[in-house]
Amino acid sequence: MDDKMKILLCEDDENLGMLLREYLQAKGYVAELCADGDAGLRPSSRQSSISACST
Amino acid sequence: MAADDGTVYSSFELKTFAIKPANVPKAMILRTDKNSISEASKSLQEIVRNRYVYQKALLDEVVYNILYTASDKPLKERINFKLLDRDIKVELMNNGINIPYHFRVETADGREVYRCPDYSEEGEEYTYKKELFRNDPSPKMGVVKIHFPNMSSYIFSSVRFMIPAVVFTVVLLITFIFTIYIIFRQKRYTEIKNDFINNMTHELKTPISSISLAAQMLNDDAVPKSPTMLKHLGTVVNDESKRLRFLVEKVLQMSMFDKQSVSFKKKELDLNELLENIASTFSLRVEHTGGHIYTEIEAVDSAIYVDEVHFQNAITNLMDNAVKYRKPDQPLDLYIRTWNEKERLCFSIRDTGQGIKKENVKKIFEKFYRVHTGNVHDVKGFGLGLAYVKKIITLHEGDIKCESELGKGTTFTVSLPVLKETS
Repeated sequence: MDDKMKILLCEDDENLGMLLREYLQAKGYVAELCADGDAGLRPSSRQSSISACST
Repeated sequence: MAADDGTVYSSFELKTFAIKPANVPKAMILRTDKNSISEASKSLQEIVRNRYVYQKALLDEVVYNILYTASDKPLKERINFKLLDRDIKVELMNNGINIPYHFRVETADGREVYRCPDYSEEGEEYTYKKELFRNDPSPKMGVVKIHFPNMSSYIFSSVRFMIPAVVFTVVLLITFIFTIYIIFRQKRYTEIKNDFINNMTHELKTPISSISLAAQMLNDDAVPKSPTMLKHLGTVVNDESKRLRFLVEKVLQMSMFDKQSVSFKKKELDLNELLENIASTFSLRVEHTGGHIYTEIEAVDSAIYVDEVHFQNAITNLMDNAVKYRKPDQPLDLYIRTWNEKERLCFSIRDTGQGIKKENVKKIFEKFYRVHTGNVHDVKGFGLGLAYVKKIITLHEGDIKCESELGKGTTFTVSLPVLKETS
């Protein structure tokens, strides 16, 4: 399994978003943070994205 | 009259007939000769003719008597008043009207001819009249007028039994309408409450997740524990727990609404100082948007006697709103002004934010009210802030009003009683 899985993160809360991204990066994933669903839907160099959404 | 060709016509004349019908022969003895048949038939014809004419004249005379002779007599003599009274009584009884009545008889031009013996003028507003001798030419016509002194009470008494029913129906209707109104209001309250609970759950969960995530990261060995990382995590825990506390306090403030008597710990404060302090705590956030806070202190008497905690909360709320509801991509400018007016101390907070639509402006101070923006939850809030602010200001004998223009900005103006310096 490709260790560098790309994760698209949509989280409107800044603090939590940044924290999650750092955590995921520390865990070895490439995480990309978007502020909301719209920004996340815009195609931005996707390769094998797995989305993680927040509540 | 009989003409020669046998036609009979009648004419009108007054004369008395000497020939009485009895004198007309009823039978004839015929002689048996040729001419007697025709003669007999002729005389029979003659007899019939005479009879007819006599009867016609009789009828004419009777009619003539009725038409002319009768009306020559004055009204008084033509009517038997006792009979009239009795007839009226009987007729009314037949129709089920047995209340006392008074009547009088008049000529067509209003001259009174007769009135009943116990006549009284009571109830004369509703007089019924009827012509007597309808066939008379109109100047000679008589009129009988009847009125009932107790008419209104009679009519009323027959309706009276219905009044409790009507009253009851009206009461029922009012109760029904009231109930429906209450039901709709309750429904609205329930909706609001559910919205509030959902919103609050979401709002509270977020800082809790942040803190637990930071804690998890601290425990996880995979995360490098560099000093920057540690500092970062520490900041997050700090910030989020502050946020959590702030939110919980806000909700606790709500309990104030239900408690009737709130104990204030009032002390003397200087409004100018207070505003400047709070403004400085917001300056970072305002400058972050590219804007600036402008404070114009023009009040000379600025001492107020207020509960520090609550009052600070209220002002913080107002400024917080200004920052929250700013125009998303544009710098926010805040103008804070204090001045004295007519023995009172006034201050205003003006922002260059989104503004509020005119129809919403008067509703914003309502508990739980938030301007409806559909499903866009870009601004986090419970809808409690302004209701709390208004309550605090009012309890301090002040008042607050809001002016806004959609797209331009909002201004909140507060006026408070000023504490007079007693030296």
